[in-house]
Amino acid sequence: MNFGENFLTYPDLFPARPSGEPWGDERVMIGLAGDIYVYEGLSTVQADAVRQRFGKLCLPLVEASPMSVRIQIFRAAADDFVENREHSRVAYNQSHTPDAVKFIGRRFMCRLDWMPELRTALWVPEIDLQYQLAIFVQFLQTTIAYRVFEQGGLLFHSAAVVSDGGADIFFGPSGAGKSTISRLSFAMGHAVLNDDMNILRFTEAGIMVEKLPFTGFLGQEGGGMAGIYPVRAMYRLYKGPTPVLHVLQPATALVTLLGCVHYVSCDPYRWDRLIDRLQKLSTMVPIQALTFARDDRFWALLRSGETE
Amino acid sequence: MIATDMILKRCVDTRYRNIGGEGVVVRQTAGEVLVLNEIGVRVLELLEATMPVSGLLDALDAEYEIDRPTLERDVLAYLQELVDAGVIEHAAV
Repeated sequence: MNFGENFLTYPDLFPARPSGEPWGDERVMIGLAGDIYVYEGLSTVQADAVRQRFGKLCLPLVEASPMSVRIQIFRAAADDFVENREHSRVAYNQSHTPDAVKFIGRRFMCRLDWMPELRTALWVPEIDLQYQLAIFVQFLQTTIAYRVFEQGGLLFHSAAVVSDGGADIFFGPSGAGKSTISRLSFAMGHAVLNDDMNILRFTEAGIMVEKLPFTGFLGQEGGGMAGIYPVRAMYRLYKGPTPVLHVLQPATALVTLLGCVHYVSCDPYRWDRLIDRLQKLSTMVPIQALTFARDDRFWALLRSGETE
Repeated sequence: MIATDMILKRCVDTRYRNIGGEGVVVRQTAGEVLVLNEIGVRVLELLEATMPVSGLLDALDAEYEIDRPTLERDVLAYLQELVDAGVIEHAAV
């Protein structure tokens, strides 16, 4: 199957560069994880929706610095896209080169280019505003994943729970129990950074975690806490009747970690660096498997560290 | 069906790393990740050198204490599994 043929009427017409007709001249600057992301080319209605979505993360408008990441929003014609109701927003094609990454999904096209600084562009047609906004948010997440990766970190699908000044990271695919264990931990008085998506940083002091503040039930504004914390241990979650802690063999640990690094894990030009980074991660913090029930017994197990 | 005169190679979209004696294989097009055991790791290592399956069998025969018929049966079946899984493919010669 060729890139985009499931989603585009004429896949060969995927934009070759980040250019096109903007929706308007509105900009919204967002401060996230030490970076500034700037949506450009928004209509007034789109800009209002973005500001409402990101709330206090929005910054006063100033001239974008060279270090800001530009996210240019362009118009696309509705008939550029194949309308297939089986396509979900999360289903997409991707294509990689050393200097660019391209995605096509239901009613969107986007690309990230390194020129050498990261510039990104997103094309959407005239569609429901909430759907557009969901695409904007998803694309920002993709951009952050690459930005953080280029900075030496990882955007990691995980829940982060803070206690005694350190963080425990719980991870696994959707349905593994990240939200459940976050709520259980929260109910026990522990702080939750984010129950869905967190950023892992590799520092001389060890692995540090900070939340991605616009995702997850407990991660968004009004829930969860902020800050950067040293990671104590990481646990691949499984649900079961009895709490059990298992040691993971190195290859299995790496595979389970790999499955929770979105976007970058499918990029052949970054795979070797990603594997190196995950191997380093597994030498810096314990990576274990935790089976847990819907009660608080798992916490005593984690603190005892007793593995089977 | 794998024959001993075939030449196999790792698929282009497949990346591989030896992690503590186990192999982590990623099929990037499909977004799949596999873990191979020690034999799987050795097979992929041997396939880095272009050789017919018979050469691969000779190499494994020298390394493992197993009778040749059993080795051939198990390895050919295993190679077929790797082909079916999209990890290796017939090399164009």
